Amino acid sequence: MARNGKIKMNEKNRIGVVIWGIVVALVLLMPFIMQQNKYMMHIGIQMSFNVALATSMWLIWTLGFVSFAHAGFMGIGAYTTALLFLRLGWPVWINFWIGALLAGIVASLISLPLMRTRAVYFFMASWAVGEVIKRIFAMFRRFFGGWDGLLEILPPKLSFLGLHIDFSSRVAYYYLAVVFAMMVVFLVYRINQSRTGTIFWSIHEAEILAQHVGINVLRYKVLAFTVACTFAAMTGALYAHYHTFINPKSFDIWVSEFALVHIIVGGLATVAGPVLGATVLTAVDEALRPAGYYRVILFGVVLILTVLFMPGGLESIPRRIRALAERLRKNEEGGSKDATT
Amino acid sequence: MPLLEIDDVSMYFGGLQAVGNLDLTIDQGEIRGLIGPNGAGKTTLFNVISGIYIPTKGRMVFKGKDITLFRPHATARMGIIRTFQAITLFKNFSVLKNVMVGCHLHSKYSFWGALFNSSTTVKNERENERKAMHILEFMGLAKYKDELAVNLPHGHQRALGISIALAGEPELLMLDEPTTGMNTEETAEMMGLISKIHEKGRTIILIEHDMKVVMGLCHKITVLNFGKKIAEGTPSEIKENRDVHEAYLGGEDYVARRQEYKGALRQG
Amino acid sequence: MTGLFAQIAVTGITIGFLYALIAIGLTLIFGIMRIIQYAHGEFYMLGAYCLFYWFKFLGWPYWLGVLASAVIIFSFGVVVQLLLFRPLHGKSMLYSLAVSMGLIFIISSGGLLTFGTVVRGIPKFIAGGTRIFGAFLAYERIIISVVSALLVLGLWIFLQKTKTGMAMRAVSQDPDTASLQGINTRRIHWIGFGLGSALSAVAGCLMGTLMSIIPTMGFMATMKAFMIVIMGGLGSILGALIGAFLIGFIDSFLTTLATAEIAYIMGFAAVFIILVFKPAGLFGQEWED
Repeated sequence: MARNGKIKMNEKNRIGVVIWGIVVALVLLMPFIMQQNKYMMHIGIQMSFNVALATSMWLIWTLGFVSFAHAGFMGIGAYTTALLFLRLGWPVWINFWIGALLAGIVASLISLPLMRTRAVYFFMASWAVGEVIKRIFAMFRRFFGGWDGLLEILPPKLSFLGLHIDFSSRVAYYYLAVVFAMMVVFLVYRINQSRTGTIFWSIHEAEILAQHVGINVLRYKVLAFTVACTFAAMTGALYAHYHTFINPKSFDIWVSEFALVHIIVGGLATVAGPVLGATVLTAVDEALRPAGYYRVILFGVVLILTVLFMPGGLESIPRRIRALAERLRKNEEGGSKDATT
Repeated sequence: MPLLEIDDVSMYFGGLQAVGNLDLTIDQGEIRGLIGPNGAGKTTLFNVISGIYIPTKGRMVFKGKDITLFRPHATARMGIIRTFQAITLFKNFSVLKNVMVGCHLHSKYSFWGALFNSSTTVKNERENERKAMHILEFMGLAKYKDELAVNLPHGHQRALGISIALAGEPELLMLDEPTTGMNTEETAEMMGLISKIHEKGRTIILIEHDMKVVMGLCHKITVLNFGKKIAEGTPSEIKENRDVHEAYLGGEDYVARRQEYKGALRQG
Repeated sequence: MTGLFAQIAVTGITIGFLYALIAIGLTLIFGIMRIIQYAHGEFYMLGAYCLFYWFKFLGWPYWLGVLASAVIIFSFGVVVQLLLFRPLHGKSMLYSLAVSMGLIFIISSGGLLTFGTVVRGIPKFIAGGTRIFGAFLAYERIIISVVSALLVLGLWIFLQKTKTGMAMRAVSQDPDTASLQGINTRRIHWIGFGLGSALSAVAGCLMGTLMSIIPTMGFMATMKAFMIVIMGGLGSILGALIGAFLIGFIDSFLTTLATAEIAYIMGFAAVFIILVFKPAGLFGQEWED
């Protein structure tokens, strides 16, 4: 499998499918395994948000970009949902989609001028976008609640076809978050596997060549950016109703930074990378919470070590183990050959 | 029948004139050679035609349509596809995949269909693969179809570049120094391929430094120097042209000198 | 009224010069190595703390402290370049972004652990001031601005007249040709990185003298530096200079007349707008990845 992120169906990857199947089953059964332990559910919800953010950031990476506007769009989704809920009393299920739509529109409009920039300039411009969005939330005190933010963004209740779920129950929210994250991962996976994904990677590999074979590169950049930012916004909406409280600091640059750390440590080649990176690092983060600043230092060290020594990330570990096993086997065979001659 | 008409086109970068008041008409079905010393503006002209640069002055008409302001993907859609002087490939894709990307232009594609892997999409992908394999066989690269592009030997990488261009089904194919870095054998092979491509009905513009290739393949040759056209005519006319001789080597018989130079390269 | 505008102008110039130091440092690093040094502001912070500890343990003289800080941070920068950035040479910029991000985590959290969260300061090295056009201008600020200006001038002379400086410019413009001409690009890389980091450190010292010192001051500096450098064009010293004063004036103007928030937003908005019309910054070169 070349560095084009595609997964071909063959022997090795039937195993992959099985592994994903087991993971999905585990994730869905987790509440029962953990006996509905509230803290574990909380971690699971955090992981789901981080997975969604990391995976959507990875989608942008498949075209060769890094966008630091991610946090800002998460904020758009969160604030839209929260405001519609608090000020107008609209149900979450509608607000969610309005937030997503709004984010999508803003993303596609912003991306048109944004995509004229390249590489580092793009990174900075996207950073600018994220910062400005955050500061707009901070600026208008009456409307957005300023730096103090918004409170009492209650979790939704669902009454549908005789089914009554109160999402203030953490287990219920866990399922909501997890199903959402799985949906994001699945969609990103499907996009990547399809010809759209091939086009994305071809822009990543050789943009000028892609242009010259008739690919309207701008259109695809806008598409990827819009889809990714919409996913970020959706995550923001769920985040708002879970924490019931948001302020501009929740959508600070570090949200985008951590998403980037997740995809680098997890691996950049396939969708498994962001998923692995986000879950593992969220767990590590939680486990090390009492360590305070040392935790952040460790993250820095892990990040640097990954880039310098294991640039393929966590998802490259199975491949490395296999390669190592191959080499060891060859050495053994070579050794025994010497013994017989 | 004129296919491409370039009318008084100039390209300035800041104060530097890379292409100056160029008039050029390419007829359907011809193989046109574009030669000139290094820095004469040949690749710049390709960049202007394909749409990387928008000409500072002038007009370009292709099949009756004004393409002056067209960007690369639009000119590709019109039917003009070029290759690059430096090897430009999707390095980490397989050879087959490289060509399949090229097939995108002329295949049916729907984002949602692709997303949900509809039966139409599956059919389209198979069709693309078939077309791509056909081109690879034509270009003699079929056995490398699963190799990563970056692992191919130099000569095959150039052939792959042309394969990708062919996948776009161009009416006008612009080749930028396709035999760079090739030995005599590979060059002869490449010449054969270009002939075959031409026989299939494509018009070709060829930038080349190897005079044997240019003389052997081209119906007509346009010579540039300092961004301006200094001569245009059949190979035999160009061979005798004094301005051309002067442009290359200050008055000496450049054909002989180039043979000598190339010979020295091969032995050295 | 003139008093107010004069004050704004004076503040703008002072800040502008300091911004120029950090920004030129960053654009130098960018231009020479084509890497994203996201942790540039951390050297700014470390520079400030070096000066602070100089005072704590050695007292005066002030300018010797600044020099010592610059030398220490230069060396630290060189070590960082050799260990962390050199292996990334030629790879995608994502890797340098990631490594420098890791550096930020380590240095700023390390700073919080080592230096604590207490706000520090450095005593004025000269008290008093003068009035000009109705604005109060502290002598300290005048001297700092003059020193910054001299540093910028000195750097310009270094780049134009010395062998190493000219080599740096060559590598910045065209690394391949530069190495063909026999320039030791590896040497230029660590010198450039050290120099850029030292400039950042000096800016940190000077800013720390004027304002306060906290371990998290680095990020703000990084942001300003990036804004300015991107606006002015990567690798362009002139662009960094112009950008620094532009942002300096915007900051001074809007912070005084409106709020710091608005100054912030306007700064970023200015960057975005400039990038829309000139995707490679005001004086930047387009480059392929």
